[in-house]
Amino acid sequence: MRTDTEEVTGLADEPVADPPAANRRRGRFAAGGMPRFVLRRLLLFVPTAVGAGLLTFLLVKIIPGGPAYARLGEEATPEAIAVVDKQLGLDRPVVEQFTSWLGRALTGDLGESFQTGQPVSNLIALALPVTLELVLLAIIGTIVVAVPLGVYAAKRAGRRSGRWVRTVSGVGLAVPDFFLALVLISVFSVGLGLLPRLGYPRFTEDPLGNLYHVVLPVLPMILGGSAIVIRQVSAAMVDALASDHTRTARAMGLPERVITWRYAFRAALPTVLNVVALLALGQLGVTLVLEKIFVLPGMGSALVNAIGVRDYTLILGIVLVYVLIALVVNLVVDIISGLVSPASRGA
Amino acid sequence: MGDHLLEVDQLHLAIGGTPLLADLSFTVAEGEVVGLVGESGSGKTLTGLTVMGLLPPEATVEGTITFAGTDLLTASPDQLRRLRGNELSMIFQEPRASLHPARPVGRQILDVVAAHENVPKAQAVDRACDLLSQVGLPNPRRTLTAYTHELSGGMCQRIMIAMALVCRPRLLIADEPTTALDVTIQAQIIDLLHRLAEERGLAVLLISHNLGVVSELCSRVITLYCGQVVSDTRTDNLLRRPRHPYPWALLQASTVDLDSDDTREWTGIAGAPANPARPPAGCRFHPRCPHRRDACVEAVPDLVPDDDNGLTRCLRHRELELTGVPA
Ligand SMILES: Nc1ncnc2c1ncn2[C@@H]1O[C@H](COP(=O)(O)OP(=O)(O)OP(=O)(O)O)[C@@H](O)[C@H]1O
Ligand code: SF4
Ligand SMILES: [Mg+2]
Repeated sequence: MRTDTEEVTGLADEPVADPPAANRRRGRFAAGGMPRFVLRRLLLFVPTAVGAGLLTFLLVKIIPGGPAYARLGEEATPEAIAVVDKQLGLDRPVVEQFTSWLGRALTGDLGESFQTGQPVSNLIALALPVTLELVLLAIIGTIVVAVPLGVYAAKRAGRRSGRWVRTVSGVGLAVPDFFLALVLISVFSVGLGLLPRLGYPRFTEDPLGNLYHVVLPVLPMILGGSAIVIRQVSAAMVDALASDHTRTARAMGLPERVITWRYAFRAALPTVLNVVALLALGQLGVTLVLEKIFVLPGMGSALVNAIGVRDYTLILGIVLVYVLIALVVNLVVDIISGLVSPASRGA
Repeated sequence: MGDHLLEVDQLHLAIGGTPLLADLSFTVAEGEVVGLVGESGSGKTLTGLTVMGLLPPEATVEGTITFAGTDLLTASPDQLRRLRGNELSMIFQEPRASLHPARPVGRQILDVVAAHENVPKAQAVDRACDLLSQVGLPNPRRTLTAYTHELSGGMCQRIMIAMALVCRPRLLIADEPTTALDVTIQAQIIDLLHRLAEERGLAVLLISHNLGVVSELCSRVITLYCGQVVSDTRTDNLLRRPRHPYPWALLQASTVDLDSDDTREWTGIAGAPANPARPPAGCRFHPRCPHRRDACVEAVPDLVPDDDNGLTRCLRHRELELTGVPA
């Protein structure tokens, strides 16, 4: 047997796996890794937004009819249309129309709505909070419902109660949100008269009334979202609970609660975050339909109306905001993922 | 019998209805360092996991496992939890994967202390630091805050050892603790286990398929074949004169060179290992045994005392003159 000193000198042979990684640590995102990463992502926003804007612009142009036609209705003679088109600048070449919009948009000026003449940014400022409220409440509700159930299903995988949770959420997956909304309306609003189907007091004016009125629109989003998240959380937790490090935690006699949450759930967390982020973006799409059903003055309703009347500036403004939201959500998720997985920090 | 720290008696294990361990009996005395060897699939890891109570829920176990007077198979889950990590501990083959990737290793050690003892945090930190330097990690305070991806495999195994020993258990089950490591690091870890076992009066059940590693560290070697103990004898006797054709074949195949750190892996022995789910009739080793007789196929041999105070599961152990390896 060797002596202590030999044991320690023996260590010199043993290389630290990754010395740069060891240096990179000290402080969460040392060596400017994270700021640079954020900057890169933000710069990516410009081409993404331009691309999405151009695509939308061209798609809207393809739809027959135009803003002048929509505005004039019965009186739309070719002469009258030409006048309105000139007013709106639509007589210019398509490329020029887009670049001039783009030029202003880059300076933060989204132009005026063709239909109402109001600044697009004002319209968005009114509509965005409504949509964000729906998505935010839906995500919070989904996390509260789905994470505990997903973890429970994973811990009881193979047993009847665990299978039940997965089966029910599987059925939930197959039900479209709008159908769920209609069922909930007929039960809670029409049938029981418990919840209002219409009306939207602003949160700033009547917080409680506001929350009361969004319960019914948000509920289908929570149920639909939970169906997805329960299965994903449960799958990630089954893996985490079967991992070598969970076995170690058991072998060391850690309490089951610590093993479940501090070890296994912690290992599953990056997956869970990604699922939730994807869901948030998906729910943005769901609001398009739900705002229509519940007549809510959000981005979805505004977009559907704007498309109906070919309000090009408003459409482009809304799409721009959607792209921005998608980007921010992805960015936030990446930052949080970086924070929760030490190995990828600063990478 | 009776004064052993660990006593496994007639253990039968099946997982999902598939028999994997059959009539497995062995003991480990307080402070004793015992090797558990056998080919891949012979049930070494399962034996360790069974003792620890870490089997999947679909496992069924019969027999008794007594640890320091407690029957582990009838103990309540909470009783078992209190013993694990505290009185008996286990370390594993893949040290990096066996630690949590997103929790500083020091926290993981402190979690073990917190699970079993009610000591102030500062005191627990001091103890963890002490232990980290005892297992040969330089700069313990810094290492406590490290994540596994910042450490080498050998360092991770040292952390695992520290974690397993921080509550001063009486038995450590080490499942191939060096298999995944470089040869030089292997030797260091073996030395470390040797030193710790000696200093702390720790009993070790060292699982390995490397007879060289086992014979360096263990005073006694238990050989598993197809879910059964076939030989259980003192290391020097085993090396000098095996009393069972299976460990004999292992020795011949391994050509262990005890003077070298570079103990070669087994080159393997003729024939495929028997499957414990469908064991051969009679002696389970008979299809591969060059010494078998008709009687070997008819009767299942018992594990009986041999002439060296060991145990063997061979009908012909008295007549066979099996040569060991040159000392
Ligand atoms: N959870 C399980 N379910 C079914 N069979 C299993 C399970 N775990 C292990 N086995 C089987 O039990 C047998 C013994 O496995 P074990 O892991 O104990 O072998 P081992 O001796 O440790 O081998 P190795 O040297 O490869 O680690 C193998 O045939 C294996 O396939
Ligand atoms: S009992 Fe027979 S077959 Fe089995 S090991 Fe002994 S000699 Fe070989
Ligand atoms: Mg094994």
